Amino acid sequence: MSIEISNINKRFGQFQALKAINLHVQSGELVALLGPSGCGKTSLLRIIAGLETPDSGSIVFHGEDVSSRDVRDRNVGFVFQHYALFRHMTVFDNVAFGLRMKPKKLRPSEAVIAAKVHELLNLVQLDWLADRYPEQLSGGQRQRIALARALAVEPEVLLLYEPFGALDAKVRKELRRWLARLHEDVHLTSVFVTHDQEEAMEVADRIVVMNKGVIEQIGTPAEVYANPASEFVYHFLGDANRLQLDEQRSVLFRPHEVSLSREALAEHLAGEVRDIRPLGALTRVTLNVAGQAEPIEAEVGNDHASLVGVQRGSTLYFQPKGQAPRAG
Amino acid sequence: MTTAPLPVSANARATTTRRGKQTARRLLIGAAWLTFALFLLLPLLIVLGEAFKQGVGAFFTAILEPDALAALKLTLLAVGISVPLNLVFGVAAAWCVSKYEFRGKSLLVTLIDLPFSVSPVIAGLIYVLLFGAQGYFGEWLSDRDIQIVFAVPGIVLATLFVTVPFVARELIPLMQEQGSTEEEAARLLGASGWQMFCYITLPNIKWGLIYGVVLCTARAMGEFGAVSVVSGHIRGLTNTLPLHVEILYNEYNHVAAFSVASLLLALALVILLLKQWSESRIARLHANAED
Repeated sequence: MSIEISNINKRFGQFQALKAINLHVQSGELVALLGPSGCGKTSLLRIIAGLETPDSGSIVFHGEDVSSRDVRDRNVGFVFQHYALFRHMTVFDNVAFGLRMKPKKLRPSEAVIAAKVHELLNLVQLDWLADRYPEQLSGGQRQRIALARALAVEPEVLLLYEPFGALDAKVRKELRRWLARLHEDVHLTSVFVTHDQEEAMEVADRIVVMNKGVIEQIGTPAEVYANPASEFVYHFLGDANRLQLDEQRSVLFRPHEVSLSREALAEHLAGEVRDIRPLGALTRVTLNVAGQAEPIEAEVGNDHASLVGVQRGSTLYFQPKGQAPRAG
Repeated sequence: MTTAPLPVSANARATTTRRGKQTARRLLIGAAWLTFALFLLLPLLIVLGEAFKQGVGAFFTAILEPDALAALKLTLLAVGISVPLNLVFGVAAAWCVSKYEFRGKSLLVTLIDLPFSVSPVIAGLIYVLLFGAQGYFGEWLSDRDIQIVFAVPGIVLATLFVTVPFVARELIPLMQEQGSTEEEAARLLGASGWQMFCYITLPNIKWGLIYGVVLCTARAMGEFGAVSVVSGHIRGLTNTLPLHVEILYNEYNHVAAFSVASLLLALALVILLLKQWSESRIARLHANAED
């Protein structure tokens, strides 16, 4: 099931949330809508689901225009940020809900529903929680139940809204990998919204970077990271340093793209060490550079030669690796 | 060297504070009980005492008298009509306010509260002014032989007016807090509007709704001011229980007045038990969920 989004515009009062959005999602693809809050990613996801109506433009699912179709007839699975599990129902009843709401003619028997629910609960590895209520579950468990509930009606499109946003860091990481694996198994066309670039990089096949209601760039994680289409994308996808070359020109580079040395090598600039932070396998050194207020951050391996005996106030020499100067 | 005495005095101070706190606690709890006994329990006992002063026989004579039974019937009728209507209106209003954004929303919320701030007597007068013989619609109504004021419809209208806020007021904060994502989730899973309301919204607001209905019922039964203005005090026809109590009391028929009052009291206690039960159901539901 492919999704074709053409020329979508959406206004909320004076605020233009989306401006002429065009996006094609291929069948079976996992796409991330990435951007800061207020960039329009949420509106776009809700418009795809049918929870919001665009002012103009169309949404086409697999050649079929669904723009005027009601939410309940779009057959999309949707996972909310805080999961929106039905609090007065057990996990089992939550997952069974979509099947039980089908019109009488299409509704499977209770036995078939029970089998399907247990199959889904097994898929998310939580069959043992069938009789619990949502408030008795941990965040990660709720998230997986919400996913099982969305999958129960066999949707053709799966939409996830900040699916990991409400979880703590460790659980988030585990679930992220689990979701990517699950997506490989069920192969559902999926779109998820996130403000976390790391999450988008790790899970998505393609990333759609949005800002202020427009799409800045669409590409694979490798593409958007290596060839950012704009300075916004560059900044949004990771930490960035800016080194002023002269009045007009500056160079942007990432903290790991630095050659660092204790000796004054050719074409290296001097910097005064302001802070040294060990971050697991890497160590981050923050340098003050003469002529600019913005400090430079460099990340090198823990065993890097330049780190031996360095302390606050020492002088280190650095050079951005292989970056073309940019105007601005 | 100077540090040695310090812990002792600090300790002593802590003990004094603790004792002080306990005394304050006892005083407050005692005061609460005393107030409760003086202003709530004592009047109740006096009502019952007066009612049974001349024995059980006199009590039953008073409440089984035709006028008293007619008053009871009228009270139950007014409750029976106004509470279901307010139930529907309250849910609809709470739904609008909590799930939609529209112009004039705050005005609507203010209007819902109006009966709380307007004196019931004024509410009654409004209806007399509108539907009374000299009122705006008086002529039109009398031409068609429809009587509203000094008749049952007026009493129902007055009761409706004073009880409008109860259900809506109870539900609006509850529904606002719950948001509408569960409803959205239900729609996405294929539920129709009606299914969504029955399976998701209603169970979520159930206990708040029951609580609102209980409060609404209690008020509808006890309403005096508004009903008094539109009633006309026709014995056996337009007297509700509270009005009947007043008439009996003004006639120095104390035993009968207190007997009918204790009938009203009994109804109130039933309502109170219902409220208590609905609250304990909520508590048990939570306890079950936590097992």
